[in-house]
Amino acid sequence: MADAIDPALARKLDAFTVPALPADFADRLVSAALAAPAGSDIPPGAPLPGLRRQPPRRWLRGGLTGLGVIAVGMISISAAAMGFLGEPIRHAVSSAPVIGAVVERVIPKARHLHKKPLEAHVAPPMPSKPEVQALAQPAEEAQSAQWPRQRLTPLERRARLREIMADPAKRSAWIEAHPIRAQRLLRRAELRRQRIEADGIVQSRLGPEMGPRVPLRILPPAERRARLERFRELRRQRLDMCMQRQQNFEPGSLPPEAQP
Amino acid sequence: MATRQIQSAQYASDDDALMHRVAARDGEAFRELASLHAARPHRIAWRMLGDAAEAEDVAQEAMLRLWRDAGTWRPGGPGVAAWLTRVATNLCLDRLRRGRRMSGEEVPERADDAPLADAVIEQGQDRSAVIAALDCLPERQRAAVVLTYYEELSNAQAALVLEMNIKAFESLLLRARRALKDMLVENSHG
Repeated sequence: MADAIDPALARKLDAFTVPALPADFADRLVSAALAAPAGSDIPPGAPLPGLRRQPPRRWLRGGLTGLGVIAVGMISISAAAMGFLGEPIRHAVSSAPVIGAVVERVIPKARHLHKKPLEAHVAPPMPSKPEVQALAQPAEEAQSAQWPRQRLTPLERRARLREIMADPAKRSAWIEAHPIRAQRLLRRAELRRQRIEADGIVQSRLGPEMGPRVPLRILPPAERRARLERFRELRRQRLDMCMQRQQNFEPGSLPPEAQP
Repeated sequence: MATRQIQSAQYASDDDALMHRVAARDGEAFRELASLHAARPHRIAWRMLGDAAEAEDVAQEAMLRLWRDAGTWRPGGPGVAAWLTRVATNLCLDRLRRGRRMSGEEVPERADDAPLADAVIEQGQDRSAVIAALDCLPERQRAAVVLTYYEELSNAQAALVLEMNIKAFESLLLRARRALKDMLVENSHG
């Protein structure tokens, strides 16, 4: 049961009385229920309007028929004048009292259109299909059997190539198997080196004395060695400079006016 | 309490017999069911919607749904009154939510046989005040008050009708009563 309610509130709520249902409610209800078709949710009401479209009016239908007849007639006359329906009909049209003059004015050369029968155009017989000759297998294709093609991402391909290049035996075998690609790679590396040298923008961290920054692996061995020596010498000089600067900043070495 | 349970079981078995006849499209049985139970959806709708014509519409719609669904009636359930209570409450909630108040007529005053005019006026004022206060409540709070106070359903039964958890329903009812008390008791004293 419901919890106890405040008596003062209950007294107020009791004032809300509800009138009884009308006396004929049950009769109306039963008649409505019996009138409704079984299983239908829609209460009986006015019938819905028909979905069929109204037929067009008589004058509209007549007008449309007349327009159709005129259009078909004009198309037929034009076709006859052009000779599409045959020479006798074209003659008949052209010799008609009014239409013939109009047709002659509009299509003056109509009578000559099909004067000469067209020569049958016989297409020359198609040459037989050439036999497919097996192409010679390129050397690269033939030799790439030991380097099977794999579906690799660019990064994976680059890593694989780097791995091959690291091993001299593999590198020579690969270059033999892929002479075109090897040439292309070398040409590309050479171009890159020339570009870097020409630009001279990318400098070594050790300063312009080191020259443009190039990868050591593309340099000839003698130049690579010389470059490494120069790098070591520059680094040594820099270290000496740092040591010198450190000594200059010691407290005893400061000038008297700079000491606290 | 035991007497009431026996009575409700008796009503339920009577309902089942009547519904069996209604399923066979017996108009007299339906008339009997209407005379027994149509008052409850009418009362609920009247108090929730505050409109005579709409209350009658809701009562009629609930009874016609009973007629329509009589073929699927399962005997041994809680009875026609409980079914109608649920359907009428949901219909009222739907109408309140849609805001489709079809009738624009004034709430009719109840004809009273009381001899004293001032008593009639006072009672009419109280009644109008209750209608206005209920109208101010949110629809579910209004349904909670109508079901528990006027229809004397237990909290559990009313929660079942409103498809709510019992705790949530008690909280809803508490808020509704507090709001009504503020509007009807404390403001009227002030």
